[in-house]
Amino acid sequence: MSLVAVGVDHRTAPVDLREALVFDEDRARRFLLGESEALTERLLLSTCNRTELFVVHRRKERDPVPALLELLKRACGVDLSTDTGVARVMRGEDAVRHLFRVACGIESMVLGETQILGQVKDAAELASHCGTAGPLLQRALEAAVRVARKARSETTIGEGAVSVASVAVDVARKMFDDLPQRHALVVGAGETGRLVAQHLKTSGIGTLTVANRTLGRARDVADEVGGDPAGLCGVPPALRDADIVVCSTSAEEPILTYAEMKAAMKARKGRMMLTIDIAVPRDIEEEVGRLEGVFHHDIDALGAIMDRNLANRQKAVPRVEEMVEHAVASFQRWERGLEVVPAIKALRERFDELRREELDRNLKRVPEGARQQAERLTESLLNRILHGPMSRLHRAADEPGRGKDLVAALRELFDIEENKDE
Amino acid sequence: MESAVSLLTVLVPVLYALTAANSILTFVTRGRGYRKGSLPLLGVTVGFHALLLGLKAGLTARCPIATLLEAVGMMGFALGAVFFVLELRRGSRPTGILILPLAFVLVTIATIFGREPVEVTAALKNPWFSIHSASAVIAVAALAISCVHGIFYLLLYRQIKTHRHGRLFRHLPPLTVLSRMTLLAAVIGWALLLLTILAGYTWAIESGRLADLHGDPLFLVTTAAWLLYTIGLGTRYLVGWRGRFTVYLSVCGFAFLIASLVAATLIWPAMHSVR
Repeated sequence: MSLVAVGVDHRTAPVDLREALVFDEDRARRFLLGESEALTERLLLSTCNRTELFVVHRRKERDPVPALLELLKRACGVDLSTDTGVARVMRGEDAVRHLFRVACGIESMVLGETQILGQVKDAAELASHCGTAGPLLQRALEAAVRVARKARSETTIGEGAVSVASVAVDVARKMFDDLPQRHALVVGAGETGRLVAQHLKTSGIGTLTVANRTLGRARDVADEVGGDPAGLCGVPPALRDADIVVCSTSAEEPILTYAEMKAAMKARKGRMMLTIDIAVPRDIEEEVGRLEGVFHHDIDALGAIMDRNLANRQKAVPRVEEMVEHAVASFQRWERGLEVVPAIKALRERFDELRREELDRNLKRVPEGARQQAERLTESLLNRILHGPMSRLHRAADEPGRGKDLVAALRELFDIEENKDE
Repeated sequence: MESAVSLLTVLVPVLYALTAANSILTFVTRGRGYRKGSLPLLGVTVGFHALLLGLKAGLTARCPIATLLEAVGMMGFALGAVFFVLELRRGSRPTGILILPLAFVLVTIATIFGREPVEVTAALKNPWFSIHSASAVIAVAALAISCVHGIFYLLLYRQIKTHRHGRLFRHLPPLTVLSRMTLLAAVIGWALLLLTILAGYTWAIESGRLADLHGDPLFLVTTAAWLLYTIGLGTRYLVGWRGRFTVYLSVCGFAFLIASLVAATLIWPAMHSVR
């Protein structure tokens, strides 16, 4: 048995192709439960930047890749077999390594992003629910989640925000421990303002006001994120209550001046405020950063933070790759161990059969108590005889090829026939 | 009772070692597993130490704080106990890295060098003296913890303000938590400092040493420090000032207290001695 992966990601496929291959949960469920000849074990990982199918291939079966491509073609109408270089095909160790790298976030478009681990877990849960995750896939997924968690806890791969909205939330979290009790004011209801407002809301901010020059637009965004709308004239009074202020308008002149902020801070009695200015030209006067209790970040400051965080994540990549390699080696050891399990089981059954035969032949007229004693004695003897060879066989499985050789020898020496499907 | 004291004398430093190691691991790894166990472990450590102090008091019929080594051990206990109280009120576990290893060192020193029983004068067995010295030690511990959190607050404040998110940014709790811890520890220290002054005054009256007290530099310094903290806390609670000002007052108050206590002890060593 070995793992095979087929799919596309942001490195190999353009966005229109990736779009066509995106599976939502229902579609993914239908896909996993759909008819397929030999692909009983399968996992579908579909995010906005990748769609990948992982299947378990048994050695005697046909190459599963054409069947997988056909399945994708039927499900999405995209023929990946004709477009060379778009679909990535990975087999065995490479497929396992790829799964682990994906889970760790080092294959992601935004290096070290945290969402992917949840997406891998969701995919695993769906496959398990659909009954398409067998022992090998399950083991691979467990190992992937384990190495991803280890990478995140022991390295800086997922540390530091790398987008404007997440930097804003990151800094807010370092200032306030009670975001659900805090109030945010987003000035500007364009696309950036909407994204920041959404991110603030999903990060658990308590209340949110969206202010814009045109109140209708402010109302649209406020309705979308569950906030209150306001016109630009509502900004100065809102400063008294707002703990986080994000500005992203296209105004030519600053809409928040030093004097206004000074007055607001006086009214707030020094309560801290985070100001984020994403606009160019800037919406907030730079001098605001000099005020006590005001933590001001303009677009350059945010950019510098993001660059440093990204560099920090980049530094962690070699260490994460090391962890992945270690996990791949460990998985392969386990996989090789599987090869000797049927032989161990068959050998034990063979010896036990012989033991029972001999007991039945020799102890026919012996009283029940004595027979039980003989049962226990022979069983214990058998355990002791087999313990050494079994342990050595397990250890031999760690070395590539050696396990197979020993299994072949056992088969010949003891005339055993193992059931490989188990 | 003596065998229980012997057992706890060994057990308590071991528990402090575990809490210190746990606090370092919590800070370095930010591991959730370590965090989960840290509060119960600290609670057990402080609980056993309190039991040990209670048993010692029962055996010697006095509060175990009459000698320098006993005071050192009590300081270790006070650091652990005050930090535990702050932790119970949703504190900041990562900051334990500076407090709990110090508690471990103090308790270990007191345990190793303070094994021999010491006979003390009747004056030191007076309950007012016990209250005075115990509350003084715990007050200093609380104010030290307040100062440590205040310093962390100022460092994190600076990192956010200058957009340089370093290691402390990643490891420290939010500014609001640090500010709360600074304030709460300062309130505990302030209240105990007042108790120290009042108990010392009462003890001076009872033992006929009131005249000595008026020229006592330690008494004057402690009273001045208490007044400084009163101003700081007053501006926070009565005037409503927040942020760095109150934190600066806490840090400066502690620096003033320690510098003055050391100076007063070195310059007039005989002034606050008790025979």
